Amino acid sequence: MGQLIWNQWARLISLTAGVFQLIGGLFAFFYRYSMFKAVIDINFLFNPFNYLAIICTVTGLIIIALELPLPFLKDTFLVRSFIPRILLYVPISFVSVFNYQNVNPALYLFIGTLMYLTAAIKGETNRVNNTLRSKV
Amino acid sequence: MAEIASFFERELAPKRLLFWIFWLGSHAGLFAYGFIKQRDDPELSNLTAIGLSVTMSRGAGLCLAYDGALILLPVCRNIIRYLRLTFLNKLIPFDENIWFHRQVAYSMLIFTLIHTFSHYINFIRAEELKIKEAWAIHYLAPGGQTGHIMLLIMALMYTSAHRSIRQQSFETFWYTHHLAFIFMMCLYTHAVGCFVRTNIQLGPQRCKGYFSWEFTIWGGIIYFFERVLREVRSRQPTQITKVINHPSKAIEIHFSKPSFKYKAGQYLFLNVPKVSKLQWHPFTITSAPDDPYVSVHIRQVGDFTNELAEVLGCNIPTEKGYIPKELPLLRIDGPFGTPAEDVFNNEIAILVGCGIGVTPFASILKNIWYQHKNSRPSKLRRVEFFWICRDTGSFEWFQSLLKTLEATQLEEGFLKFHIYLTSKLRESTIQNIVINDVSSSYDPLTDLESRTHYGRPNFGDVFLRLKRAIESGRYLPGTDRNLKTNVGVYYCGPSTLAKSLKVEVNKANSEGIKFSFHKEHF
Repeated sequence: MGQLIWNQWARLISLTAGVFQLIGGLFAFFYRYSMFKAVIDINFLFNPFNYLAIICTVTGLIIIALELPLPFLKDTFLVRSFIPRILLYVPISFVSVFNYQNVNPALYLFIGTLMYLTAAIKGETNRVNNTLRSKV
Repeated sequence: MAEIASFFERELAPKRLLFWIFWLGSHAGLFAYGFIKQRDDPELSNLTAIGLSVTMSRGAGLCLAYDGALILLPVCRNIIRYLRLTFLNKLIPFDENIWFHRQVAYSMLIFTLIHTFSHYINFIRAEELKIKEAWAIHYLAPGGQTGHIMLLIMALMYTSAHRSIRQQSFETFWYTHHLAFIFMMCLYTHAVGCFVRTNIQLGPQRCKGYFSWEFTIWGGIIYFFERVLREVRSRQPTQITKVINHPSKAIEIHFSKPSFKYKAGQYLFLNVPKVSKLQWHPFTITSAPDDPYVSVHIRQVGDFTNELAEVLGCNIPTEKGYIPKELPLLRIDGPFGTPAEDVFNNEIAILVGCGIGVTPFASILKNIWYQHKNSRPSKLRRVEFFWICRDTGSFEWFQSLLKTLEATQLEEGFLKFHIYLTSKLRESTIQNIVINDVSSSYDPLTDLESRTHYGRPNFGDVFLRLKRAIESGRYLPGTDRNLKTNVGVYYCGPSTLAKSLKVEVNKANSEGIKFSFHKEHF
């Protein structure tokens, strides 16, 4: 048994967060609500469109696209390095907290970000290592 | 297309189909029961007023209680071990316990999603109906708090249990999975504060939830006793009697533990407090029950095994070897797994081991040898042993065992070895074979009398030839051809070969000569 590869775990958690983020974003189109009273009263967040819902849906899609990763993103700097993700996910999770259903995804995404940070500090690379030899 | 076909073939096999009907049916039934009970209960009309989401969350909640009660049962390995000895083993495949554990987890995930998303709507509606503010239900009510904790724990546990993480770092998976303790505590206290209350207009308000903790807690209690049992068993006196340092970084540990009773083909969990207090690692038992000791072979392939070798003094390269002053304390939990006893119920046993999957056969082969030597009555007449491996270099210890077995053959042709090498050979090795193979009576690679084959065995052909030989009466002299002959095929190794082997076995099966396939579990 080897060492834990942090970015592997971070990817799975971020993917979970991404799916929840997307669902929460879509949900927000039907229910305008926030855990913070003050946010509901900020009118320009919801007029003329429900901006918060749009932000959450789009960021959810971005997270999923980055984590899968989608074919056109493969081998780009965005996916290969952890730094762009860390820089992207921190604001996403900060904004998501203000949407009702996105508090939990924001938390998971933040945990994922911390794991990516650990991975970056430990100098892990994103290459899938195929050192696990088949046992036949 | 072939994949889809084999998927349906596997999932709709009679036993599996029966399970799916029971499993999906019981969930659908519970969901419907919870749904209808909430909808039609006049006492709960105050809640039903919230809408469809309440009935959905109540239905899913009942399913979750059911799964929560079941999830810990399949991981009680000691209790399952005792249950396997009973008649229940014929009805319930206890070896598939981890598979069942996963199925419970999957259905838990699905109903958690239904339950949680319903509640998100419920709480907004509750605020609209002036019952309570939504954020307060989420983060101040005990139900909301425990729910969110459980969601976070699930996110961590499910992701770390993913195969990629489990294979890379088992410890991460193992330690994260112990969050289950907090999870179960939250599950039992999820209904504290009672939000399912009767309508106040219909008399005094009282709690009318499922009181699910009254039965979900039994899973936890059983699991608690399981852990106590593990602890008690592992604390029985155990003494390392011998450590053998094999070439190619394999160590053999002999120990004695009077309270340890096992059968050939089983495995145990081993813990060395000096290396790690919490880590338990599974190893196949390589000694036979007749041996005066219990032995395990450990290959140094990871952190734990390396450190263990260090503690045992196996990694110090000196001429005389090194004997540590004090041998570390050993803790053993087990044995587990299917004993390969039914090998003796066949006339012919075909044992197929792949790579490291050969280890359980060490014990089985030894056991067969002991049985034969002590002339204990058994049906077994012939044993064909197949070993398919990439290179023999890393399994030298096993070779030496085979060599002893081959040398002490009691009856001509009782035990036959077929060794298949699948790796590409180096040029020098090929030269070596060419030079040595012709004249000597031993195989140059394995040093056995049986010749090594190169490439993969064609089992279809092997079975066909075996069948012809049995039918012609050459294979088992003295057997009446009209009698039924049982051929048991025992396999241990990767599942891809298992599938194709099973197909071949089914093809070879016929009226007079019955082939049956058995797979060892790890």
